[in-house]
Amino acid sequence: MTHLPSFRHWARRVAAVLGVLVAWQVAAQLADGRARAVPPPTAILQTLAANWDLFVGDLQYTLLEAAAGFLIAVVIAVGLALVFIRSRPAELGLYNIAVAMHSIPFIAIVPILVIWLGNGYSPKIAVAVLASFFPILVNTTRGLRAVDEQTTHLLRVLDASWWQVLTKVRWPTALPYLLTAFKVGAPSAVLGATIGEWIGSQTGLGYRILSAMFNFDPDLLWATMVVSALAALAGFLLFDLLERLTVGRWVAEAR
Amino acid sequence: MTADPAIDLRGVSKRYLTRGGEVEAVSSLSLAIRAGEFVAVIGPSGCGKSTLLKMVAGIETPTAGTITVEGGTPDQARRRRLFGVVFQDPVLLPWRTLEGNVSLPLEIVGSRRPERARSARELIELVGLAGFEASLPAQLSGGMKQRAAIARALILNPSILLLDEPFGALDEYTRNQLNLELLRIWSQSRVTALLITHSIQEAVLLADRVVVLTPRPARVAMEVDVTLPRPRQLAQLRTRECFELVGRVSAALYDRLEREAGRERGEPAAALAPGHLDSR
Repeated sequence: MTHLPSFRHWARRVAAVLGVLVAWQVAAQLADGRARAVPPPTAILQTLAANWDLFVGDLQYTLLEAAAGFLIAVVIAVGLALVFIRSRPAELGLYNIAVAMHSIPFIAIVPILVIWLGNGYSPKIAVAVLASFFPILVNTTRGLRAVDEQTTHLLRVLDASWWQVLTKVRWPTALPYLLTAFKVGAPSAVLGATIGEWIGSQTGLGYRILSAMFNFDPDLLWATMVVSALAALAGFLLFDLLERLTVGRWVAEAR
Repeated sequence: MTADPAIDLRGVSKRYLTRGGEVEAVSSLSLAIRAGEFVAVIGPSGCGKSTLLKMVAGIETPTAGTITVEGGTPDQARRRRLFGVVFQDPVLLPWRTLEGNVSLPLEIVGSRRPERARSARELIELVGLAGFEASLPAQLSGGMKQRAAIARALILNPSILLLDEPFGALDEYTRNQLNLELLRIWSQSRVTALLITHSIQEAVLLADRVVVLTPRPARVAMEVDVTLPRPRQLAQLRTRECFELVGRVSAALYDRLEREAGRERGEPAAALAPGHLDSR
């Protein structure tokens, strides 16, 4: 059962955030311009409002790239996880390659991707794929394997086919793992797309960050950061909601 | 005409390779179960009785010896779907309703939806869960879940019911309640039943024959014919005949333990040598 948090619970959360913002505002005002790199929250809000159209344009690009990258990552990761549970040798071989790819810092691979794929959407989508792919692969594989021994025996006695075991038991068992992976992977895809825009871009949140830095505009930099964080958060919340609506009902009290 | 046994184990052994070396779980065990017979297998925990059941079900293969189930191999019997199984855990799928769980075997054999619903409802009624068809497992008590597991085991009309400590996780009251239900259901269908249990009382109450296994590796220490008349009732547990049967099973089960304890006290082994025990 999902319980709605009480009013007091929410009041405390809001109070904590407001407290930090007020302290920040006071500290920034006291510093009085000596710390230009950290503008007060009100200045960031003003910049955000003044450049709203700019950010909407940036968001369109970045979110499109992130969504495309995320979807591709899901398809590849889930497909690969199915191969892994089917064949142990394939897993042993391919898993190491996946780990190696995951270990490459995205920022190091962006120039290579730009040379390879050009200046369009493709290299950004590719970085978003790289950023979100691994947690989805690991979690899906674990989820598909999370069927307990007695259930496996029951299905053996019933002489269920591989496909029946997959669709009737493995897949639903993996679903909570999958949604957890999505909650991690979706913000990562936004991050990946943003980093992908650092090289060879004319628009997008990543481009905005770089251009604000080179123009020494901390207010714009902070405002872009807020937008990026909200975009990543939206990805998380989307799958959090989906989780509550679907598997939350039986997972909490399973067994 | 004397029919072939429904389940026939001959010289069955099972060895496992573990990190600590080779472990012998079952050692040249022979046992024949007639069609329609209710046999309870009892033994110390970890003695390999669950392994025995898995081998009969075709989930594991013996290292030596042969198992014949209704004229074929256990694997053939499994593919013919002759078995209904109930494990210690109900293993219900938490996202399926009671009805969905009970009708899972029918889905796997590919029967049509109306037929599935009808059979599932019949069996849910049989195990006394009518009215809970749409409940999720999380909403059911332990005893109700185990009833659901029994319904699921029976839905394909199996000729052999394999019960692996089915009520081991339940409290004594619920356990006896379900034992009575099981007796009622079994007496209606008269399937061959193989029950693995660690409760002497349960074994005596349910079975036609109790097979006592030795500590690992499992071998048949003794077989006790349960002469209590059927239909069985809980009241029979308080009869002298039942006490005697429980005593015989208990003597066989605790034989080795008692001898070891005797040795520790320095008593001569000969004084305790059980001449009445069947050596096989």
